[in-house]
Amino acid sequence: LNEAQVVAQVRSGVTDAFTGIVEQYQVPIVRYLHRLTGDPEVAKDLAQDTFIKAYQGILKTQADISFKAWLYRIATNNARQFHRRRRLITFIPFLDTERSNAPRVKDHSDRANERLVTGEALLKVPQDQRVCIVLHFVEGLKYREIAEIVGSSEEAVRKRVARGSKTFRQVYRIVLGGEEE
Amino acid sequence: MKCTDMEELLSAYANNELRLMQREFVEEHLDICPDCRASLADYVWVRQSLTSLKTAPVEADITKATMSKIGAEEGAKRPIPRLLKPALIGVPLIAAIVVSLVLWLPGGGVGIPIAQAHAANSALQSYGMRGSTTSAQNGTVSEAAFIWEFVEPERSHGTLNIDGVEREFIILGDEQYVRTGDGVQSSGSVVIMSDSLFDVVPSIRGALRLIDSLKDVEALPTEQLEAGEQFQSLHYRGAVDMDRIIDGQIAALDPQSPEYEATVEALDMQRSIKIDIDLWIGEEDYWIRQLKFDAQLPAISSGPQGVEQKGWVSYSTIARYYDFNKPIEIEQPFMPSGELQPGWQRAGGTSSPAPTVTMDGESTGGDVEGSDVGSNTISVRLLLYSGRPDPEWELDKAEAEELIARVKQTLVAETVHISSYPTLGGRGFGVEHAGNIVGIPRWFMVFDGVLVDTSISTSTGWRDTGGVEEWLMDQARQRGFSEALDTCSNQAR
Repeated sequence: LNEAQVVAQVRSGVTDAFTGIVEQYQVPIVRYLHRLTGDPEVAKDLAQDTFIKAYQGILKTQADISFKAWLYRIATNNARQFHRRRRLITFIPFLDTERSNAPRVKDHSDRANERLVTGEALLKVPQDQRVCIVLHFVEGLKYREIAEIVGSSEEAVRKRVARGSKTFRQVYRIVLGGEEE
Repeated sequence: MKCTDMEELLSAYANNELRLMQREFVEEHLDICPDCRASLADYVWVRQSLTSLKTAPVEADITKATMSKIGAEEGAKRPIPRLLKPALIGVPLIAAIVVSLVLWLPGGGVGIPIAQAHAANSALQSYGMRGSTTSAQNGTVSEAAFIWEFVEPERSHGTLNIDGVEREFIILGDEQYVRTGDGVQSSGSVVIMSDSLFDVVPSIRGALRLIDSLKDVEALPTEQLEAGEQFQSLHYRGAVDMDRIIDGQIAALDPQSPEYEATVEALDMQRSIKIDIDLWIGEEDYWIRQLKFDAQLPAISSGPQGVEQKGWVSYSTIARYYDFNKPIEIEQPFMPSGELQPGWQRAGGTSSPAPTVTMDGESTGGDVEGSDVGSNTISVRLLLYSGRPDPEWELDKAEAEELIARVKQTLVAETVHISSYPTLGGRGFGVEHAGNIVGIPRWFMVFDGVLVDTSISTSTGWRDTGGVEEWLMDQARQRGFSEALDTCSNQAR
């Protein structure tokens, strides 16, 4: 997929050219948002919104970073806004509709179950650290690319990945402990 | 180098993110240090564990839905003059022109170019803002003035003067730093740029939310806001559609829930909220130039005898936005050593260097104490159901230990049924921690002598025998929020 060509086509009014971009990136972006929010359905909604914003952005601005990094940046901001809203909702009585106690599926294969615990532990890692460890471990990006996405230095990313890894390990045990009870 | 300083290097080593010299240094150290070898094994385990998520099945077929939304917006989005450019004339565009005309020249009422405003303002890299908010309740008037600058991603700097007391803020992502003038004992943080409809500091992001919620929009004559501006601003006036917002919230509730009826009743009472908005949007660039809103909220108190209204709370805000995409530098308030510059202190945030809380008792996870800065922070939010921003602060080590002890004492008390929550005019406390303090809920609310873990149930709580609420009230007073406490009606009940 020639992204530069797609951008040029979209700018000249060929909306359909953008389909290739969505097809190319929908899996990584949905997966990324799923790991940030913990909810596959929310992830799909936020991913759609991410692509729409990217589309609108193409018409408006010249991005100074790679297209892929830019998509991840928009997705990260979307997830951040989602978390803000959710945090607020948690504190507004009567509106607590988003946090359900869905029963955990017990009869999964070991691997799927392990992923469930991993995913759950991941959600307990502070947001800034979680963004970095998901981008690195799950999305396979280098620290340099992550720094571009989150708008900070490579050193800051290195720090967040290290802290995030440590936090993850600690909460994983706690989550696992709760599971076995 | 001490082994505690090796953590970052070990993590980066496990992730293959070190340069050759650093790798060699780490390998030499590993040869002689069994502790660091154990640490490295942990990082390798984390890596294996998390990379396993790569192969989890992903259901992500969103192409069709996304493209049809883009298609629909596309029809509404392109301004008419642009469509007349010869290069753009083509068969598919005729459909777009028709759609555009329908949207732009409606029979009744005039719509705000919402899609354009969203696209243009979401893409902003920086801007400045200044303005003021006046609030009044029961004859008590409060004035806030602000001047602010914003830079994407999520950095801002500004001063906020509330009734003559000035605070300067630097906000970097989720972290806030505050500096006060001489002689002012500043405490805690002021929550700004929240996602509520009211912000003391109404960022453009907040303004966009308001645009989405409007009804009865009328277009007024365009205005030149400032002499010398390139072009005029479109001026719109409308009101927040509270019915639509509340209907949406009611629709999202579960009718089977035991709290359903009480919830609907509480939401219905808020239909009398009135928020009038004036908005000025640049005629050609669609950047929001000015926002003005006037709001009136019923001050509702809930007591044993039921719910009643005690007057009104009003807010009046005006904000100007300027310097769009101009280069703005936001300096971090740190010295080269990494310490905060004199006069600055942290205010709120989720990943600050935190007090270390030692766990005890029924810990299931074991070693959560220790060096992991940031993850043990406990933040407290004084929930003011008055539309005012909630003060928020973080506990230091001793305070955190005290709170944990009190919460644990409360969690063994008898459980009680919660029939009502604070509503407008009331108050409570929201407490949150990063998730690894074992034995106390990650989020909970305290009000009217009960503690509720809202992640478990919103209808059952514990009688506050540990005195958590009383202690939090003292904390709030010590941090200078006495006045906020006193204006809320369910205090000391």
